[in-house]
Amino acid sequence: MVKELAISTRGLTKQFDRQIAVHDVDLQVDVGEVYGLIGPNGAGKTTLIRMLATAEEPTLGEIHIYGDRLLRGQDNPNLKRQIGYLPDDFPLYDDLTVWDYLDYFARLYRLREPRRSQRLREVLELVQLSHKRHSQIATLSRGMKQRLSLARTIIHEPLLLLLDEPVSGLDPIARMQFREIIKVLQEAKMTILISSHVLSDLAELCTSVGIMELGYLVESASLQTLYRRLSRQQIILATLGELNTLRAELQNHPQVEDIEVLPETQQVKVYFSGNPEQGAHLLRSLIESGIPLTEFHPTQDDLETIFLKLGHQQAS
Amino acid sequence: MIPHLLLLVSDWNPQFFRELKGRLKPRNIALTIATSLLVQSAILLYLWAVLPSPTSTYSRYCTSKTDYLLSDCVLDATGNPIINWQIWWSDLFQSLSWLLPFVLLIGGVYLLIGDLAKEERRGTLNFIRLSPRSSQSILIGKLLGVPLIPFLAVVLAIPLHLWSAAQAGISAEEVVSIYLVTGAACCFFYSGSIFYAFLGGAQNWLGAAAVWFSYTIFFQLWQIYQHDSSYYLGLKQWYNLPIGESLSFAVAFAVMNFGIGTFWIWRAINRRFRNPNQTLISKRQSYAMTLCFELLMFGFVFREHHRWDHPIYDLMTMIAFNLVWFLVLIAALTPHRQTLLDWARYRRDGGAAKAKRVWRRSMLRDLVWGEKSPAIGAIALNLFIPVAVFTPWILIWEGADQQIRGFLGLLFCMLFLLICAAIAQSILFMKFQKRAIAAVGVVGALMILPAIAMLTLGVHPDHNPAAWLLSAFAFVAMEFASAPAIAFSFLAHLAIFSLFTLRLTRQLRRAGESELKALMAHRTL
Repeated sequence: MVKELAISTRGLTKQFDRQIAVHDVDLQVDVGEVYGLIGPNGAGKTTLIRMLATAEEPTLGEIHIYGDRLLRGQDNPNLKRQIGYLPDDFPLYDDLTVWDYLDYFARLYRLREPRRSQRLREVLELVQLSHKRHSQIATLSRGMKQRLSLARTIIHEPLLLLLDEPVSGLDPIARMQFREIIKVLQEAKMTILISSHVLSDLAELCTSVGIMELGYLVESASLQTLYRRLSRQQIILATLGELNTLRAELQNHPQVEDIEVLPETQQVKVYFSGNPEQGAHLLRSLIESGIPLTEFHPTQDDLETIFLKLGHQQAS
Repeated sequence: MIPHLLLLVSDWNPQFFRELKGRLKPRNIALTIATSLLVQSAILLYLWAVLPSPTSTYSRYCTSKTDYLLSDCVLDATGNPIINWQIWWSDLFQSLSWLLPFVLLIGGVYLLIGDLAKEERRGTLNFIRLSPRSSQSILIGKLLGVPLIPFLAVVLAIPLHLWSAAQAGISAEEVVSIYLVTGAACCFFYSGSIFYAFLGGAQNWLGAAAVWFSYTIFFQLWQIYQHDSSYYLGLKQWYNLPIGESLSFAVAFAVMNFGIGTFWIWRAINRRFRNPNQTLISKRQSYAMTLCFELLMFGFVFREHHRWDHPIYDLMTMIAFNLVWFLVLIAALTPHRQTLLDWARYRRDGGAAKAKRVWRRSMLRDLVWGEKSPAIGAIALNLFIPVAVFTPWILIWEGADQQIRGFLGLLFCMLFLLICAAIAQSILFMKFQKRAIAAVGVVGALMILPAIAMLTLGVHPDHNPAAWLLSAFAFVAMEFASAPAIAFSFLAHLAIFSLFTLRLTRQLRRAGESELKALMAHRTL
């Protein structure tokens, strides 16, 4: 069965002056995915997202959203109803209250009463701003403004959500709150394309990742494929006894590829190629051989390491 | 009732509802009501103060013994002058009839330009653009919603206006015609302000000043012609239709023109709202607009002429108006650097094999119809429209001399405008901020400054026709210029135009080169 695509671009190119910001990008995002777009500053992520959101005209190429071709110079009302776009600078109307602002956009997206008020309450609750509904936007903190912008982006229940650096400039707690909201939206079956510099956030949220560099989409794969291809499984071990004894015992196992002693600790990092059963067998044999283990922690390369391994450099 | 109405309005047009909520705040409403009532009271007080006193001998408001305007006052039994209240009320009506449209126009234009410039600057307009509402719906919301405060102020004065009309015995036809023309003018000027804001103009005071200026001219014209009861505003005939002879004709003519103007501006602003990277009008639209404009102007030629009225003066007037028209057209039609770069670089990528086979023809078609191609070709074709419209008329003039003068005047104006188009396109293709302002400034200065300088320095067309031949107003010098001077300046015009066009063509060729080719040649644009 052919998978339905939420986003499909063909030869998408955008040139600013003589600089090619996005170069011949063929991007495909399945319905229901959370797709993370990573890459250094100036790689073309924002331009790509702006083109998908109909905010920027491509120099060349085609964009299909849920199978419908996006045509510039036309109103595209049906297509716009499916898209929610949160830019990185999220401008707001400071003179309006939180409720009036969302109400205005709900009306623009043709939500009618009583559904409109109900939806407004839902999104305010989701972004945890119910208590601020009568506050002027000018009085909100940056994190609140960002959440309000997200509320505006999802007010019309779009099928596709385009989020450009949604957590930039937020403190850790606000970032965590934002992450939780995205998870809820993911459960609501929205397809989400999100660009971010914070790779740990993306690793937690995304099902697929695309890497952009100098305007090219150099990698686009599911997170699982990426981990399978590029991530090495590791086990962190700690012992109360001699590290050399542990080391000697580990070398008896063929799945142990490499052993690295972590300096100034009683820990070693083992690069392990076996499956979970073989991992369990290793643990059992170490205990049986009388090594006083205090830690046995299987882990794998994180997204940032994979990113660097691919030869890319993350700017922040 | 009111909440139900509001609900209907809010669902019909959320943009209008947003403006309504944002602007009609208690403080603003109170201030507007107070100001409106204060101004009305001030006018009433002034008119009250100028009423004749028992000691007055002359007053406009006296019932007089004779028919003269200022004449001896007739006194009643108590020795007080008998006041002609009809004139007094009529003056009040006239004052309000001038003031109300003025407030609406100047306030609306000022607020609309300011509002749109602010939305563009903050980037909030983009969000509205991304909503599924049509551009018409959003722009109607803006047009009706942003000038709400002046609307309110004027609505509050309407009872007094109607009351004064009733007391002065003004016909209902005249009262309705004022409202009709004001409504049509508001539609035209309000869409015009959005047009200006989308053109990149953020100076609302400039828009307000322009409206002030036009309104003053209109007022002066009215003052001049108000005693000529046979014509309204000096309008006589248009395509031999007696448009000035009755109020209904004059009003219908004004409303029709405002209507046509609003229609074209409306199409342009909708187009630009949908895609802010596009030129304000398409080449296709520009031809239709120019044809409309020329046909409108040309209509005034068909009227009863006095014996001393040679049609060449009509042609000169039309050429002068065309200078202004084409200045606006060049601004609205000329694409910016990025559009041209995309066109030059990727023009052939879109059309596939078919375009390659008929490349030359396709290039010509692109220059005439294309969305992104340079504007010079389209401006040239637009310039051909007045030539095509006026030529048969010039050919039926009496006297070969006048015909030649007419043709040459037209030709020089067209050439000058082509040069302006080439200069504007060259500036817009340059790589610096505020290109649009620079282009308008340079072209505007090129049109106006030489003439002003020459007039100031005493270089008049009859003594120094050669200097005038090189300006935008070459047609005034045709009568006095010698054949060699005309030939020389014709060649000079051609040379300047060729120079700019060649330079632009070379730049576009370079822009169309691949990155590799540019890299190998170590070139940057």
